[in-house]
Amino acid sequence: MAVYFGVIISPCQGRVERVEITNESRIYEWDPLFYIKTPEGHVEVIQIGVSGEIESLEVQVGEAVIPGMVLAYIKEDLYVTGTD
Amino acid sequence: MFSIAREKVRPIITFNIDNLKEESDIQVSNFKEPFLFLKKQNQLFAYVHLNNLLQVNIENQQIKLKTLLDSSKSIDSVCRLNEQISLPVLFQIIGEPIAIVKRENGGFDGYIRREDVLAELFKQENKSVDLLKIILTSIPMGIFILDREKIIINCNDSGLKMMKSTAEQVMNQPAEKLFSGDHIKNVFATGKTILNHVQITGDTGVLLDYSPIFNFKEEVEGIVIVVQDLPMVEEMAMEIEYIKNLNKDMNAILSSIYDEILVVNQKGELIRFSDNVIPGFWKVDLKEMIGKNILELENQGLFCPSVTRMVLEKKKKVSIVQETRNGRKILAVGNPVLNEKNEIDRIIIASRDITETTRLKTELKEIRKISEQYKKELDDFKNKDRFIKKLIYRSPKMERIINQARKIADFSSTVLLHGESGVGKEVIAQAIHQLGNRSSKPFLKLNCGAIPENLLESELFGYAKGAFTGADKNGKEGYFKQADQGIIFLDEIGEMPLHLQVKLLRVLQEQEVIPVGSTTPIKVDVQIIAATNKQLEKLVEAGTFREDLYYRLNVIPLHIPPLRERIEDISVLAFHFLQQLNDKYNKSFHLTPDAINVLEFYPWPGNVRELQNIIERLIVSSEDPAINAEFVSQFLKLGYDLKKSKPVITRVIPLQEAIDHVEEQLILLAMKQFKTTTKAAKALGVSQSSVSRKYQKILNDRNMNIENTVPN
Repeated sequence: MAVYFGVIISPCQGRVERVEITNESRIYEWDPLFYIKTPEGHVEVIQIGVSGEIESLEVQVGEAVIPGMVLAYIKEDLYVTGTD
Repeated sequence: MFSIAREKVRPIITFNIDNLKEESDIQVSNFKEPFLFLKKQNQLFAYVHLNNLLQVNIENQQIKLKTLLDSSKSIDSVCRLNEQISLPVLFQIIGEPIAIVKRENGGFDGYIRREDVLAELFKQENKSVDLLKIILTSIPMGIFILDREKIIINCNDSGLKMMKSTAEQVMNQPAEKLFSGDHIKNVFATGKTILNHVQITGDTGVLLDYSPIFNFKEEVEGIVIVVQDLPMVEEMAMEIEYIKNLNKDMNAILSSIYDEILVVNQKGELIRFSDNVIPGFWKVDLKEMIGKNILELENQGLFCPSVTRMVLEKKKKVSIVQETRNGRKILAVGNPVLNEKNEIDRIIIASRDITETTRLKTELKEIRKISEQYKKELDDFKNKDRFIKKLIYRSPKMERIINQARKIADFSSTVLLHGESGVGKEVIAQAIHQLGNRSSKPFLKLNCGAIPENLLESELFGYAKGAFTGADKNGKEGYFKQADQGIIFLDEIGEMPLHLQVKLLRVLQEQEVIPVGSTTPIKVDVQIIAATNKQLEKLVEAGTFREDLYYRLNVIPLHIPPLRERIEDISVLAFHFLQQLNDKYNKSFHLTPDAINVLEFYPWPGNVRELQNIIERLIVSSEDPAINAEFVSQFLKLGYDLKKSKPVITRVIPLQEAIDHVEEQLILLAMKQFKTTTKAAKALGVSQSSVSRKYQKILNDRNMNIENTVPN
């Protein structure tokens, strides 16, 4: 069930400028995943403190996003990779 | 089957209308028969019930053709009878007031009135025909007759079959048991027929008509309920029931997967929602929202952001994490359902409360962090433990020293290690470094006796740029600077020249160094461990060691006893070194127990270092993997050493006791080593007989002790 996956959500309103991941790509803690350009013009980098595998990518470059919108679902690792 | 009485057949009076106009008047009083048949182009086409007409136009007995035609009825619906009448034909007769009697050759004989046919029928006593019964049973529909009290007073078999009931169960029972009470009441109240009412119960599906029975005063006296058994209806009913169940199951399944499901149409209007909804998510009752636009809620600020809006905009699946008023986190996933034209038809919004999941995840993360920390700490402990395990000892004396070193490690106090050469002063210094919080910082070792006096200064304190000829042009950092935050181990501190002692004192006091050729002091944070095999007090007395420095260094004095004072350690150390060498050269040398005895007997003036080297020498020289006492004693020059070093008594005991003790040890040792009393006597420098006697006595004493300790 999708529900048990972690979610990467957009903290802001804006437009997806760059996507650094693909479906099923593996991510590590604090990897930059998305770049979102806000209406004010600055670019927000989306990072999260978990590592795991991307379960599904929900947005594409150029897409408008709002706060709370899920950008991707992630299957988190159960162990700590400990890069921090 | 019965025949018609000829006298009841009446003549057919025809009236030809071919040449008449609609306006023409017709004198109807001329016609004596109550029924007038109309002819056109020599064909009967209609009939008129003159009695009905004449009641209205009784005055002038004249009727316009138009009126005649208007009140006429088509002849086609009139039944044609043979002279012999079969029962099914009766039903045709009932519908029309008359029937035409055919001749056998095809022409018409006349007509007969309905009442006459029926009267004729009732006359057929011998046939005992129960017409009503026949009518009721032959109709392929169920019929129930209700009286004024809404009690079922009659019914047919088809009806019972369709309602899956028996006569006993329904006769004289209230009709409401089988049929809709509301409809029955309605028919009684309004006198109107209710048609095509589908009634579905558990396993039956029927089509019902509720029809009133009027009396002459136009009052409803009863009801006829016509039941039609439509297999299709029943199938539909089953299907509906199945779908209902399916729906119930689906709802249950969906509610266990999601906390809330909404269905919205392409305009954003709420169509339906699941049984369970997330409390507090909507500020309105969802029931009131059915048919209303969800997007309005967003406009009203009731909730935001709307998944519906995002799905409508993007035309694809959108997930949003939303927060309710009471701080619950909801993951809402909007899924568009597209029609054939690829346009959005519906939007399914499935939501799940992920507050718990999120909370648990956070907690898990916290716990993980903590357990990581624990793991790290445990590893730390293990590492320390491993290091401690590397320290080979078994004696309580060394145990005490290691414990002390462990304690010291937590502080940065200056330590002064004192002990004979080779006792392992450096090992202890390293232990202090490893066990303490400076373990990740440098540990620098400097032998004060090994470096030329005039170089020592620049080595320790470094020098500034161009301090002297041949110096590195960029200057050099001294040991103290390099060991900043770490430990500097000054071996052979007693060898340090006096003028450097002053400088060292300064470092200890001020925690700063002044490089050679410089005047600027540099702050350093270094823990100092000094070591010496000399009695520093004596050096102070002799004036070769500064007293103030001595006291500065002597903060934590640690005396490491020589190996001969901790005989327990000899065997473990010997095994350890042997193992090391075996591993290194892939050999399997081992020491026999008597070899260990010899090793333990040796005074080890060179301490651990000597032991290590002797073991190496033994391995290199031995032909046999088993190294025995004889072989060992070849290397240790026991006799010579024995004469040289005297037995050490560390406490005051009665003289005789000490003598006995020494004598016993000597004899046992000699016997062990030389096996025969003659040889032992020679080594001990006494007569053979006295060795023999004393050895015997020792053995006897020992046996007695053993016997005494054996429990009875």
